Amino acid sequence: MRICSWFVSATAALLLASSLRAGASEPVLPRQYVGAGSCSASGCHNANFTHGVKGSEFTAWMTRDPHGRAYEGLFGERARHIQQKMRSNRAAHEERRCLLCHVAPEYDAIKSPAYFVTDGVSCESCHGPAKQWLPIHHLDAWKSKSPAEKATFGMADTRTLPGRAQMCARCHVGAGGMDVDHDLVAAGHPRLYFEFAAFHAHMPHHWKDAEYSEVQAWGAGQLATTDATLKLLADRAKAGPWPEFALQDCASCHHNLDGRADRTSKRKPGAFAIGPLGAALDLVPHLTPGQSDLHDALLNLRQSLDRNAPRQQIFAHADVASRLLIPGMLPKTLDEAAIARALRGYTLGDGATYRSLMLASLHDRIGGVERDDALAALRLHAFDPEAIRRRLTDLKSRPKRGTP
Amino acid sequence: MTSAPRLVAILATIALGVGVAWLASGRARTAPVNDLCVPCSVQPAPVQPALLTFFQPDKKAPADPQRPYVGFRACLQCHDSGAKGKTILPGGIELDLMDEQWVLYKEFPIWAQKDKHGQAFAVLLNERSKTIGKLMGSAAVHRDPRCLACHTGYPQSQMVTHKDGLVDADLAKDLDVNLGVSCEGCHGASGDLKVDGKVVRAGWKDPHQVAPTMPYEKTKPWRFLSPEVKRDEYGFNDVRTPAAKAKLCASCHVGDVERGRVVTHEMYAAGHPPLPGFELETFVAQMPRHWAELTSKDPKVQEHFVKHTSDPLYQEKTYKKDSLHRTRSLLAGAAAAAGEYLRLTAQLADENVKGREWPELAVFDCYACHHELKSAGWRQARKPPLGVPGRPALQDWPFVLARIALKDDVDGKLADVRKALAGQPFGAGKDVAKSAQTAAAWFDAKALELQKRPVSTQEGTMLLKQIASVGAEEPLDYDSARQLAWAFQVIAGDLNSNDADAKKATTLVAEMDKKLLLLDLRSGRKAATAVPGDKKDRETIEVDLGVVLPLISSYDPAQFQARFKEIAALLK
Repeated sequence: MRICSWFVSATAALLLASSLRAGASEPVLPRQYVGAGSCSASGCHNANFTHGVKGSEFTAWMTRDPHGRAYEGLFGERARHIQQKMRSNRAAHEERRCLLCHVAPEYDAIKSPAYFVTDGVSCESCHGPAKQWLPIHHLDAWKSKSPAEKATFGMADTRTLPGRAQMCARCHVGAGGMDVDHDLVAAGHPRLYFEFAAFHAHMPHHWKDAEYSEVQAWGAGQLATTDATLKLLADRAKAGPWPEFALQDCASCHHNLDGRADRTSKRKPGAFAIGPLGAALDLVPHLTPGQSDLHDALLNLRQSLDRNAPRQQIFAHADVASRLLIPGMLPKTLDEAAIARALRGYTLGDGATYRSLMLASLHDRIGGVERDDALAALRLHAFDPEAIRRRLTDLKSRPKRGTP
Repeated sequence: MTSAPRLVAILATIALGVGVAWLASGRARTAPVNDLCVPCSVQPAPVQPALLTFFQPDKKAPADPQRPYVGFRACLQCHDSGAKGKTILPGGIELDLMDEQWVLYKEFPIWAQKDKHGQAFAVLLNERSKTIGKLMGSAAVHRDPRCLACHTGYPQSQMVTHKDGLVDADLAKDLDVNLGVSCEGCHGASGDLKVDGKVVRAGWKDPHQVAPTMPYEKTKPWRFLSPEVKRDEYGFNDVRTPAAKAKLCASCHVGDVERGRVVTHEMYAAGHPPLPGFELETFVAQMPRHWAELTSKDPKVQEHFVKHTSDPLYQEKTYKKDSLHRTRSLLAGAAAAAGEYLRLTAQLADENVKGREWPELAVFDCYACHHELKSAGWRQARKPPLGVPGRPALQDWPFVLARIALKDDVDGKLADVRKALAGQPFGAGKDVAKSAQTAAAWFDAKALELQKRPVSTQEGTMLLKQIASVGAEEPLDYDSARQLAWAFQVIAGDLNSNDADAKKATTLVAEMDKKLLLLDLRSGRKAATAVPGDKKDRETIEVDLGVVLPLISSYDPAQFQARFKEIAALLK
């Protein structure tokens, strides 16, 4: 055992040394999955202590994290119902589209007999296929590698907030071919509404964070959500079906005809209000002063959406915007002062905007909003968008998180 | 004098007097032909050659005749109780026009005092309309052809627009515009159809004044001409035949792209009151009627009309005096409304139709999107499931009564349209246009069949039971439920049963008004609007969205079903 372990370490060290020399530009190693069982040795990540304790990551995930139940969910009554409504002959657990999020985005590529889909969203679904880095990731030399270098081995960046948020957004926002579109929602799948800071805070942590603030988490979430949404929009506009209502603010159509609808919008009456993307399109320019290419791209996209342009045009604008977004926005993503400035300059007009902000307020630690209040606010007519804005813009008094 | 000999005497006198006048005028074609309509005799109308030459069809009118709009003043001459009721004929006989019952001669005051069509323009000047204009970026809705197309009877195609797309501001002062949907709005523009200054088709303004005094065997007096001849030769719309009448109303009350009449989703979102689902007989009753239906006219008049008219629905074989005429009209109207709704859908989806936009959300089922996001709600409980989840579907109200009226598989006929709409969100325009057009033609044909078929009392009773059973069993949306309630009221009124349970059932339906459904469309909020050129504010009844919208948003099909269960039990 000891010899075996020594051998593994030596091999790993060699590999690591060679990769360090080669640098991150080397061809990416084959992405191979090994299964969560490979992480679950009691000496590694399954020490069976309380969650958040180093060495008990697997324990925490297995006992507390709903991600581990993602596959089970495909056997429920609701899943059966959805498949029936989607006119599918397959059970949900045999439907590729479901498995991509309920197991792993690279579900198709998984060959290992040691990998059990029944684990749901397990270690490698987020951290990346482990075959290449499993033997070496405990070494000091590995720990000093940059996220980009680690990525060549298949390990995803879950350490930086923007990296983590982008990883979550793959499923929680969706990507081409693995999205929750309006058909799926209408068939009974819960709609996707992602706000990274809130989701992150509520997920049982199996790690210890470096110090970060809620504001930074919110900024990282906005970046990741906008990035994923733009890419998904481009893909939908290209591949269809089109129009795709999941892009819209649900409440722009799904409201009672009681005459009390929000009339403050500058939209053409009766036009769709774009959903969370609308909030992002408003916010990003405030966060990226001087980035006129990006602003133009976002404006073009918004206008093409507002006038219901042909999908080819929408694809083109979304594609341009998505290429410019990360380079333009990343530098400000963790800059609290810049976010605070951006939020102050940010006008709340469109319905979509405040709903997205409202989700941020779901996080009970932001601005002292009680959970029940925040949930009450989810009932679409019953909240005051300005109050949410005040809570969010009053950022200075936020407690820091991450250090116990 | 009893009415029968009196009528004979009148007719004989008239026939003689007018026959002579006609023979004399036939060649000169200048003398007045109408010796009955007193005010018209004061201002003699020229004889219209087209009437006299009806049996020698001349050159064809253009495909889409644009007849000049003459205006309501011409109608006042007779239809504003201008005919005081009595007139002395040349032979000294006093003729009571009111007794004669062919025409009420007080159409205008009924319309002016009671009919909301007369307020259609004035409401464009109220606060709500201003808000709608502001939200839609229209500088003045009362000058906007998109609004005027329905809110005045003046044909949109004859309005001259300025560069800003609006009609001349002075048009608002023109009574023919600002009196809303007046006479010719429904009856058709009555001027002569001219090509290069030459009359190619006479308008109906003068010919329709020809009284029933002509020697019938030689020429057809106006009222005995078939509706097709009146329409095609003279531009007089068919406002009698149920299917034609339904189509006429539906042009505004459902929509018609070719005439620029579409209440778009944008308009609704800006605050236009929701268009209620259309039910011919209810709408006619609530106008209210400014005419007497043939069935309520003197039996002699009915007999006389049936004997001489060319209208195929009123021949001795087809006109069953004792049948349920309003019910027949309701059934045919239901099929026609379904056809018109599908035609509107087809027009909007067809890229070859000018001025259309697709997708036009207003043509879809409002509640397909505007519903609470509940799971296991009543919408999911409907059978058969009306479409693919997540894809906006057709409105259902146009088909609720059609399913009852027709023995055929109505939903089978809609299968292709539904398939086209399910293929992608809002469907592929071409497929939708083609399938909706086909389905529309089928409903049109069914409407023509239904209007020919007299409805017996027994059938009427069965229909009531059927309505009650559909209402009790099927969870329907607001508009569909209202169609059932209205139909029940019309048929029960037509049956006019003395049975206590039947009366109770009718009361139970009527009690739903303003509690579950808005049944009385005439109710609303009284308002006063300043119309340019008027001496005082004009009184209008505005749609009260404070009443209308909460009824829609709080509508619960279970309550409606419970009410109809009671009704069904009473009718057993």
